[in-house]
Amino acid sequence: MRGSSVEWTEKYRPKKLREVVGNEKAIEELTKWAEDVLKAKSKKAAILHGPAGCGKTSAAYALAAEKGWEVIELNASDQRSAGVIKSIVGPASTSTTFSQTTRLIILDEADNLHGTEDRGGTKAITEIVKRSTQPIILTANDKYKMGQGLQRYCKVITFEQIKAGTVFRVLRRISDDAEIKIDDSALISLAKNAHGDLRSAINDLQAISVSESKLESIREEDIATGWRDVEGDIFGVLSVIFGAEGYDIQSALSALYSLDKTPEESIQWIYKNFSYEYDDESFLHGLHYLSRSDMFLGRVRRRENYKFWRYASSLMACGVLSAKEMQEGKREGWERRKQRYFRSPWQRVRLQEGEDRKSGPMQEELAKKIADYSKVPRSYALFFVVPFLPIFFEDERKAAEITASLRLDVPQIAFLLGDTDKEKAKQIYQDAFAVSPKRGKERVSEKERVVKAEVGEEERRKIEKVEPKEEEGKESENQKTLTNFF
Amino acid sequence: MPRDEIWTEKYRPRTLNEVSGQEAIINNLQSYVRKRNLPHLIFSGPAGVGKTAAAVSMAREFYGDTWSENFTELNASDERGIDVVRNNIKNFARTMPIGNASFKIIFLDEADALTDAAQSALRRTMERYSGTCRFILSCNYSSKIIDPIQSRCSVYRFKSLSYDAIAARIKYIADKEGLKVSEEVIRAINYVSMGDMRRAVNALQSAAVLSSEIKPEMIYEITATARPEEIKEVINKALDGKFFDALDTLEVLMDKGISGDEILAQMHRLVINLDIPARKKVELMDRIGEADYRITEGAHERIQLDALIASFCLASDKE
Repeated sequence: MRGSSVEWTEKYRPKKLREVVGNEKAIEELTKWAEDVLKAKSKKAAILHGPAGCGKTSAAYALAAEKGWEVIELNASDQRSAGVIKSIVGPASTSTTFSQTTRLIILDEADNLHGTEDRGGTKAITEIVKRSTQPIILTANDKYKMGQGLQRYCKVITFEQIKAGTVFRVLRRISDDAEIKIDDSALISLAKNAHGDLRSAINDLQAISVSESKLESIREEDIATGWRDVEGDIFGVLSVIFGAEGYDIQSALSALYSLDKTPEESIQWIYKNFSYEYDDESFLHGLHYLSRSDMFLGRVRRRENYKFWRYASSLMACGVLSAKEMQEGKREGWERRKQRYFRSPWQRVRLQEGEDRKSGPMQEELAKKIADYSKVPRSYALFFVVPFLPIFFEDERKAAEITASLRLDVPQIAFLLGDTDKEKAKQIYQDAFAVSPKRGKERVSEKERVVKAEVGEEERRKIEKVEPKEEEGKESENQKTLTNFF
Repeated sequence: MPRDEIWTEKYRPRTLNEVSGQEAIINNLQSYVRKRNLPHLIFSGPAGVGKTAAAVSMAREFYGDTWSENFTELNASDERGIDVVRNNIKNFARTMPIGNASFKIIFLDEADALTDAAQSALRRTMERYSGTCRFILSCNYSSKIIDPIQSRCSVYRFKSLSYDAIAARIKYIADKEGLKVSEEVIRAINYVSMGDMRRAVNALQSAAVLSSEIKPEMIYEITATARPEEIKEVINKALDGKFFDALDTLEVLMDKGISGDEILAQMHRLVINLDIPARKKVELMDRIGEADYRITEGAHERIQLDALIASFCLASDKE
C-alpha cells in the first residue's frame, strides 16, 4: 500500500472565500478590495498579514478562484532580486492577457526578502505595486518588516489567530471526510495545542491518522506523546520551580533541562511569573539571582560560549525556588497555593478559548458601563476589566453585586456567564435587587484599604481617581465591589 | 580484534528497534513505516540521544535496499545560508523517488543553525515538494525553528538518555567486543556520558584500547573526568573551612591532567545534590559560574580556582 501522500493542508485548502474559516472581517475587507480594485477605486495591492496558519495564502487563492483570475505566484524559495521580480512580475503586472482575464499576482512571504540575496527586492516590489495594472496580494507574518514606503501603496488587511472552537470544527469535518474515527476530546486537545494555527492542527491530525490504527477510534490518550511543543510542559516546570510541589532543586533543574526551550526563553517565563507574593527579602533574593542568571545569558551571547547556559539555568531555577523556601521558612502556617495560574511572557497573543480580545459589541457595552460607573477611560475598562469579569461571575454573590453596581441587563449577564444558562442569568438579575446597600461604612473602608495595599500601580491610580467622588454609603459599597475586581 | 573502526559508527542502529531509550517516539515512527506515509518531522533534543540514528534507521526500514538513493543527509551548519536551501535541497527534492517509494526523505541536521531567511526559504520548498519529499529537521531546541516551519511539521522531543538505556547498550557492545564491564564501570560511563550515547560509546572504546578488562578509573582517566567522590571531597573540605586540605585534593586532580574548566563543571553538577539549604546551593552555584567565567576571561586558572575555594571557606564562616 502506498498510502496517499497528498497533504491534507493542500487537499482541504478552501476553494471559495466563504470556506475560509475565521477572520470573517478580513475576508469581507478582501472581497471589498477585490471589487474596488476592478473599478480602479482602490489601491492595486493588498497586504494580508497575520500569524502562521491563519489562512492568508488560502484566502488569496480562494479569491482568485472565485473571481476566475489567473494566478502568478512568487515566494521566498524563489530568488527575488529586483531583476527577477521585474522580469517575471513586471510584464505580468502591466500587460493584459490575451483572453482579457485579470491576473492576480501573489507574493507569498513578502516579509522574508533576504537582504543580500534578494538585493533590491523590496524596492522592486514597491515599484511594481506602483505601476501595476493588475491586482497584487502580498502575504506576510510581520507587516513591520515590509517598510512604510511599500505599505503606503497597499491596503493592509489583518488576519488573526483562529479560535480553538473553529479549528475543532474544521478538524471534525476533515476527519469525517477522510473517514477517520476520532474522539471529540482528541480533536479538542489537538485544536488547543495548535494555538490558533489551523495548518499545524490539520498536519497533526493527518500525522495521527497515519500513525494510529484505523480499526479503533482514536482517543485523547493516543495523542499524548510527542506532538506539538505543548505549553503544558512549561507550566509543569513552573509549578516545580515555584515550589507548588515542595522544594526539590534537583527535580526543578532536571525538569528545566528536559524542556524544549532555551534558557533565554525560560528566564522570561520565570521572570514573568515571579510575582509580588514574596516579602521584601525573599523577593530581592529571587531577583538578585534572576539578574545573575541574566548576566550569564549575556556572557553566552557575547562569547558564544554555551557552557554558561548551565549556570544561567541553575541560577534562575534555584534562585526563585530558594526565595520561596526563605519565605515559607519565616512564616509559619503560611498557606501554600497549590493551584497556580501561570502567565506567558507573550500573553498578549495567547487567547483562551472563548475569550476574544477583539472587542465585540457586547464587550463595548460592558466597557461603557464600567467606564461611566468608575470614571476610567473606556479603553482601560475594555482591556483590563471586561476580560476578568467572567471570573467574578463564577461566584454568584459577587455576580449579583456587580450586576447591581453596573446595572447590567439579562443578556449582558448571560454573556458574562458564557451564554450557557439564561435561567441562571435571570436568577442573578433577581438577586441583584436583593443585594443590601446598607453595609457598615467602616468595614467597607477597612476593606478598601486592604485592597489598595494589594493592587498594582495602575489599579491604584484608578481607585484614587474614583475615591473623591464617593459620597454616600451605597456608592462606597459599590465602589468596594468594583475594587474587588482586581 | 580490529580496533580501527569507530564504534559509534560500527554500532549505529540499523533498525528502529535498536534505537535506545526513546520508546514512545520509536513506536510512532514504526507506525509511519507500516502505513508507508510520513509527515514532515522535527526531531529536537540534546546531542547523542538518537535523532540521526532514528532518522537513518527509519529510512532503512522505509526503503530497504534503495534507502541511500532516497535519503539524503545535509548538515545545515556546514554551509549554512540561504543558498544551500535554495539549491541543494531543491535539486534533491525535485527529482522523483527511486524504486517502490512515493517520496524521498531529506534529513537536515542542525537545522537551528540555519538563518531565519534560510528557514523562510525552506518553508515553501517543503510545501511545494511535499508530493515527492519529506523533511526531517534535527535541532537542539525546536523553538529555534521559525513558527511557519513548526506549523508544517510534527515535533518530536528526544529526551536525554536514562541510565538504563545507556547501560543496556554498553552491555550489548561490550558483549559483542568480548569486554568485561562491571556495574561500577557502567555507572562511571553513565556519569561521564551525561545522557549522551555517543560519549558513552566513545568512552568505552577508548578504555577498551587499554585493556579488555575495564576498570572505573580508566573511564575517568580517559575522559579526563574527576571521580565524583574526589570533587565532593574538595567541596566538603572547603565548606568545612579547611582551605589547605581542599587545595591538596585539588592539586591531585590537576596533576591527573583534569582541566579547571572540567572541575568546575563537575562541581556545578554535584552542588545540586549536597545536603544544604537551597539558598546556600544557589550561592555556591553562582560562585562556581563566576569562577568559570573568570577562567575564560583571565590568564591563570589556578588563581581563579584557589579564589573559589577560599570563597567557599568564607561562605561557611558566615553561618
